[in-house]
Amino acid sequence: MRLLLSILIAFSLSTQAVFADDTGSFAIKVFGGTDVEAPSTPTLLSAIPIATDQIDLLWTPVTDNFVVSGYVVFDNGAAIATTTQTSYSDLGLIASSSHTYFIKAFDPSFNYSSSSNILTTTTLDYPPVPTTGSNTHSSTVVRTVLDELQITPGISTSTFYIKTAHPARFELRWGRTTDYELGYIVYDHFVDTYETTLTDLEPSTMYEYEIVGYTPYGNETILKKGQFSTLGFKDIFAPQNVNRFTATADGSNVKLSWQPPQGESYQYVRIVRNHFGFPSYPQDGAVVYQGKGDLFVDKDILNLYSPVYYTAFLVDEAGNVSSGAVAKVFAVGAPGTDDTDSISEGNGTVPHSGPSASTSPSVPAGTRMPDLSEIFLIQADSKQSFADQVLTLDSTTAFVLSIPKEAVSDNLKTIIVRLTDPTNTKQSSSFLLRLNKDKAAYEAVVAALNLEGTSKVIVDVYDYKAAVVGTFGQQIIFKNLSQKNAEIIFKGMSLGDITLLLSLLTLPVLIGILAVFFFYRRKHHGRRY
Amino acid sequence: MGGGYSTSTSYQQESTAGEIATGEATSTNYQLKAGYQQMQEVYISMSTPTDVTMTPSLAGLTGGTSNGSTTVTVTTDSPSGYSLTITAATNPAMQNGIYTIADYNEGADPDFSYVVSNGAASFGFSPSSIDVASAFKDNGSLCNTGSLDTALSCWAGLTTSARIISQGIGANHPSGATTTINFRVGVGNGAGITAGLYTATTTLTALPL
Repeated sequence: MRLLLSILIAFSLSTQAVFADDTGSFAIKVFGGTDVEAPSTPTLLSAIPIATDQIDLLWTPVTDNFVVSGYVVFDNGAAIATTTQTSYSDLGLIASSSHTYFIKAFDPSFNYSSSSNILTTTTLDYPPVPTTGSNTHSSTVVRTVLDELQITPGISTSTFYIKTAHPARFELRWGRTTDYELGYIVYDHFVDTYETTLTDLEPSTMYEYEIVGYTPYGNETILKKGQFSTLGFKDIFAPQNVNRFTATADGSNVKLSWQPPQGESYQYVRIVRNHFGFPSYPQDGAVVYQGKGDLFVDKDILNLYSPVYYTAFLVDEAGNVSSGAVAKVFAVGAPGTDDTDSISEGNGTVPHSGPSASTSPSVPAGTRMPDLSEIFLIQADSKQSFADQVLTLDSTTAFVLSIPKEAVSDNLKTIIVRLTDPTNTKQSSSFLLRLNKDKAAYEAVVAALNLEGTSKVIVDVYDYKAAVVGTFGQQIIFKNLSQKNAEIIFKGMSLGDITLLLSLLTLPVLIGILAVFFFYRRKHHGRRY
Repeated sequence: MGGGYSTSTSYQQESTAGEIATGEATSTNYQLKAGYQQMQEVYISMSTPTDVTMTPSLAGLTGGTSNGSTTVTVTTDSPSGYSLTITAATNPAMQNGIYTIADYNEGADPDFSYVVSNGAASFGFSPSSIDVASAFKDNGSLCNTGSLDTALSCWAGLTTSARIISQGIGANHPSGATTTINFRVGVGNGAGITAGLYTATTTLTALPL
């Protein structure tokens, strides 16, 4: 049962977030005392010879005063199998051999039912071998015919569903080449539908396959050859936040501006407004903007509320939502107004240099707060913590600020990180930290600033009353490390090597210019004469 | 486009205006939401819980237990997570006509170990999940404290009131979170249980937060 539930809305106008639930009922059974009552008697419906070595049985389900544990299959008076199903394929039989079947059901106390009715049948015989030189055509060549084939690819699996007109035994072979070198599956039952799942496949990879069918008389037929491809990894990671998200009062209007991450594809930016606190998810307030722009004016709001809280969520192509960039704005002249930095949050101590940590004295004893060594800055393969004396990040690459979930008490779920502009310490951007997909850490992905300089980064932890109870600070030096890497490459080369490299790089350009020049001259020459 | 979120001291309102062809359309495989802000809902789904047959039967059990379990997976995209509750249809839960087995009486907090007295029998449950509710977490010897989810610990009795057994704090799709609910009938020395089939009909409810 997998339901997408919705609440019917009384009016055609939609509402904010809509919630629904999902329920399921079940029974828990236990037998008190001694169960001496046997299940009812099954009825053996059919015993069908499928092949020279296989007979398929089918019987009715039974009932019991408690529960039915299973069925015992008897052949020629001897128990040959126990199953919880109501069908059974008797395999490995001798061609043209006679078999007499009946079924008994039993319960958890091993009370057995009476025997079912008896059915007798004979396995198929091998086809007659034509006499050498005979002109007769009495035998018929039977081949397996494919009715339906469905291949459902997964990331590391692919499922094959095969259907034939008559029962057949299947072999499935697969590999990266038509040698089918990776494996094969042989199914020893004769069936007319067959489903199997290949595992341990590589994502985004094309495979060759071959399906072979065998008739009950052993005739082999190649049913299908072809190719299938596995799916790529599904993107489940939170995208980068927008940068420089600011909210500025303009009379009663609020001017919102932001910078989408450069070079990143995304669906849209959604800006959500609330006047109780920062919206923590995309439905947590009124949606004031959704699109791919970088500027919006929220009109006539400051004459209603002050302050007003905004969060900008970036939604990527896979539907993943960023943790959120936040901004707060006050009406001009209202208490709390800070004209110099309308997006500043928190009230903890901002470090001038080096790491710092301060915790409110109102924090109850036993409340877990992160240590400086538990606040991480992750960029590519580099992982630094606030406990490090010097933090250096590449200004051209996004980075993640991450705090392990266990480092913060569950009641302190609101964490905001502020990052001052490397070129203007009066400007800053703020981001919400959100629990990541594997619930291991609170994280925010900050897009590349593309600015060099020194930033202050402050992490504020809020309690349920929206009061800052912990502030942790550090400084980050942003450098264009990709440019530096290029300089290092050139430094390791001689002047001759650099000249040769530049020549090789510019050679295609020169050839292109010359080709255009000669093409132009020929055309021009032809027109004149 | 008009509408949006507005509040006063007494009311909160959310509205849109000026749209046509809005609303909801469904088919077997898809659900379509048309209109501004239509997608602002969360989904939640729960796998179907299977019936539980407890073993062994209670015949001749003196100072023993009969056990069973069921597992469900809750999947939601609610950014605030979900809660999973359990409710019994009857009081006491386990019944056989006029005969019953008492619900486990755990006191203020669930009992770390299942306790059954001489001459008595009871029916209790113990949930286990990565999202198990705090009341069912333990510190290795006590429940409703600590952060452990010790297997087959923290036992409580079913009631006809919904009781939270798991609580996730964020979206968990597409993998979801599983909760296993272990059930136990404990029979003390000298307890007499009338023969017959005892059944407890139980409901699990997953609710987005």
